[in-house]
Amino acid sequence: MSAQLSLFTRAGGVLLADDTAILRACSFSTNAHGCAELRASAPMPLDRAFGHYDWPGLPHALLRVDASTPYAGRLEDVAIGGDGVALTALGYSRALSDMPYTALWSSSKVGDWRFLTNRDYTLVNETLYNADAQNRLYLSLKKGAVYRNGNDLAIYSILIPNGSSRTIAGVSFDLAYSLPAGWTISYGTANDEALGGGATLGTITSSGGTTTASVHITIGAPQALFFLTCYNGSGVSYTNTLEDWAWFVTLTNVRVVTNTTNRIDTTTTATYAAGSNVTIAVASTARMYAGQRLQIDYTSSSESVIVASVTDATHFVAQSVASTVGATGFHVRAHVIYADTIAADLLATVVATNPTQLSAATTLIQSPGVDLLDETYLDMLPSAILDRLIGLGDTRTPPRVWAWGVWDDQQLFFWPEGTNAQAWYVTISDLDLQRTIDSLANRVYATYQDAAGRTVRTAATSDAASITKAGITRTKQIGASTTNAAQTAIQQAVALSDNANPPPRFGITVDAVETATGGRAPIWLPRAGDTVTVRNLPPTISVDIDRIRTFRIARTTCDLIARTLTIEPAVPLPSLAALLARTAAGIKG
Amino acid sequence: MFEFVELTDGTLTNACELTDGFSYALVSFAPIIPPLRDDLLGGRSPWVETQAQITFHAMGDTAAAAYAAARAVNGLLDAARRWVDRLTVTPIRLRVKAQGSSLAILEAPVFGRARGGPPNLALPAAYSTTYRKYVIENITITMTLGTPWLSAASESASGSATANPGVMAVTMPSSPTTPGPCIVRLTGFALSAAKALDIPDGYLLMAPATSAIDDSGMQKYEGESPTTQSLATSATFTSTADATARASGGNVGRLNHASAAVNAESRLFYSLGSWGNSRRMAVFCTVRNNSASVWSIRAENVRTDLALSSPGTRATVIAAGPSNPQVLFLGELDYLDGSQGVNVYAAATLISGACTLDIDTVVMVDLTDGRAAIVQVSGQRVTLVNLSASAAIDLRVETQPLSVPDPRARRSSGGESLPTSYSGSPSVWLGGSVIKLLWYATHLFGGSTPYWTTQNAAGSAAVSLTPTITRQTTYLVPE
Repeated sequence: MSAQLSLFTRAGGVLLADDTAILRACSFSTNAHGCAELRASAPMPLDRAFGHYDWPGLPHALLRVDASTPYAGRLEDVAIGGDGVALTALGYSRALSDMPYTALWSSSKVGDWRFLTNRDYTLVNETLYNADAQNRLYLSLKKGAVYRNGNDLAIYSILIPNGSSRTIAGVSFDLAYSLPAGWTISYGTANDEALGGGATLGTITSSGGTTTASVHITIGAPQALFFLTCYNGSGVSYTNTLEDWAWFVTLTNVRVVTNTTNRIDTTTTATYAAGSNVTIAVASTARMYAGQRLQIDYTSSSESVIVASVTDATHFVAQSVASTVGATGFHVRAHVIYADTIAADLLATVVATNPTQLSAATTLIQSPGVDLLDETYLDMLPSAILDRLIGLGDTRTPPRVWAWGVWDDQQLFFWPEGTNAQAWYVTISDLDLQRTIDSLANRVYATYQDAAGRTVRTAATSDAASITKAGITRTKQIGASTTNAAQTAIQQAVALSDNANPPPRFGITVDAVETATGGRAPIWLPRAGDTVTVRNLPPTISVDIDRIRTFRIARTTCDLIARTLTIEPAVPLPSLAALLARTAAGIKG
Repeated sequence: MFEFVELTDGTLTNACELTDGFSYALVSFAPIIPPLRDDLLGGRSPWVETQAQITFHAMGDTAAAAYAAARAVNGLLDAARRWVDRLTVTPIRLRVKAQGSSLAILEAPVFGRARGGPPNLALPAAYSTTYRKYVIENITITMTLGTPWLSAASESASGSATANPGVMAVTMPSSPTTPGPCIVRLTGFALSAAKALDIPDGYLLMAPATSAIDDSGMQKYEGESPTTQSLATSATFTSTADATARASGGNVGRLNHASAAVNAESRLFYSLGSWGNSRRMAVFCTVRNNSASVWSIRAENVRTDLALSSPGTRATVIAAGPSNPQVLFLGELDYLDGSQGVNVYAAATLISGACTLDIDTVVMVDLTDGRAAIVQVSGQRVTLVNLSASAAIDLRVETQPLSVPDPRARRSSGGESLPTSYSGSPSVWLGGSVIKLLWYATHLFGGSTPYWTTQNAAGSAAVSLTPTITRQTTYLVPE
């Protein structure tokens, strides 16, 4: 059993060099994002060193032991100094930091919409309407204003961010209006705010009274802009003699998505009556969750309901239902955006530009099952987006911690922490351990924004056991970048679960690891995400000691020369944390 | 005491025999017994290089001749440094024979002066009445020596031609307990009539069947013939003929999870029989995903007499297919009590379509004593215009410490030799008498036709390979 470090032109490419026999230093690390860094140095004459320096492309560094591959990364840094070269490779998770990403995935904020002006589109006359976006999209006709037929339009629109890779594929909203007879509400898509390439998807003609509806649409030919317009379509000019508020259009519960992969589109299978907490039978409750807004299309009318609870695979309870339904087969719909869909698109974007860096396979991307209402990324690195997505937890109670990264197979993984992990056992001779309440938080509340953009604070949740044990209540605020209360609650639960009982700070270095049944395993096998159990701690049982006895590895560093493995838990010792931070900041010494 | 000590590049003109009593007189040389390496790096001998110190007199009939003798030694040490730096191709060796030894002269590669060591001393030449020559006395050189000592003589043996993917065996003339560097050669790959070389990516697995292992260093099982099986509810496992794709033994084991639950595991147990002393093994298999389903597969060690199964490998995800046959390295199993078999678990993590997974072979390589060698060799698909049609092609993994500083993998035929990309240490040091080998690869013949095994030049049958191993005898001390 011996390790070998090869450098290839690329993964699966031609062997550039095998300097294993002359390496003077060689160590590699793993962290939460998979393979981290590999550092190696070798003495060699200057001409050979420059040969290494001048390799074209981004060589593939592969560490192989027998048939195992403890590390694979890309050779990012080559330094010539002293009597040889120093090589630093970084894992392929770095490929997700090679380019910024801009896209709108889902928006439920009315603040993302614009009331177009005449400068945007010549048929608009915004001066003839009252408009506001306070927790809704509202417009009303002005008293005394004259509206020409087919002209003097009012238009609300939402446009994807400039340069976005994704176009609008679905929209839903609740609509309430009261307009003169013959007035028209239409909605559709276009390329831009001048409504170039515009296509109308739906038209409603007012017959005079107040009407409500719930609209849910998918867009077969997605475009950059979605608009809703209101205008006089009666055939003759209309002069408004009523007060400003008499004729209006209101949009609430707006949601715009750029993907419909996980859209709910099921049908009712039994009749039901209007009321509160109404059980509705459907063909499938897949992807439904408490707090979700569903649109029910009764063909001639429609409404939206809030899910109170999901009873089973074919029944859910709606908080309040306005319609008594004597038939079945009505569509129940909702747009749903999951993090795995976003992760897969991030991967596809990276692979499209740098196909040698990551595998296009999405088999290691799992779904947290959390519907993401507000996800818009402006010039963000995919790695930062993934960092955000794993912090959103999942639908379990309590939510699981998620992880993303890339191992030696160059496949992006996005899954619950601990997936495909192994358990290792060590016997230690030395332990440097610190206890602190610095990261303790046993009461957590979250701040988020409502649809109008107003900051809302959730009711705090507490961990009673932690409060009793610590003898103090430490409250933490977390910011949730969403308008969705259900999603905020998940993040709040994740934060409480993470911080109510923080692990002690410590780190260990071992020269041997074992399996559960005592088999001696190579020290390069454990990696971040695995668990380690220290066999020789005192048998006193407490939560704290249990978190020392068995912990999840946040980082490993295997020195192949010294034959040691340094293991760090999720909370490393401060000195080590500082050292890592300094390294990350490029500070030497 | 040594009756013969010589520094040489292998030619008479560049040989300094420090015991010749004419140009040199050996004062002292104390070889060091090398310890095994502490580090985990391969690509070289399992033993640490040693620092050897030799003190000698340089002599000549004139002072100039004495200086020339001293310069000759210095020149060889410089040449050794250049060889280590891969600037020249001629190695420098230290050749020794202990007084009274019945062995042939033993050799060790010289890696140049010890880094940071003292320079040669140029002492004044003085006339010695003892030697009746001009003598530069007590020149001390400190150099880095490769280890262990190698006999210039080597032993070689070939095994029987074996149709791929059969496990090959080579019985060596001797059974040394100290492993020696080997040149492992597989012959039988061939050019097509169009002189196209089409050899797939593959693993060359090598393991000595030492006395520590009751049976063999390597076991291959037909996937369709597990010793026992325990299937997920509604799953089926059948032996299915697949001679068309040249399955090993003609059949594959077909696992069908179309009616099973997602993530439900089926278990296939392959008994190792008497192979009970193994403490560490690598597990491979060849699989083919026949549908758009996604599979997860892992291995686990089993000790049947203790009703014990130990932690297994990490799960390997098999992407949605349909796919061609592929070799999977499932991982390494480590355990305390020895192994009596391996459980292979497979589950469909996404069921789509037929949801069948074929397993052709399962291979286990014993890694217990750390002397097995596994090299992954990159395939080559080229046209070799300079070779005659249907020329035999060798695959070689060469460890030649006395002539080449780095072990390497090559493909060659006649005078044409192709460097071959590889991963995994190609430094092959094997002991024991019987050495097992397996060329483990599937084959997309001609880039289009998928086979379970490596095919001949015509694509009409599995290739028949003949292994040859050349091994040098090693000594930790020049006894």
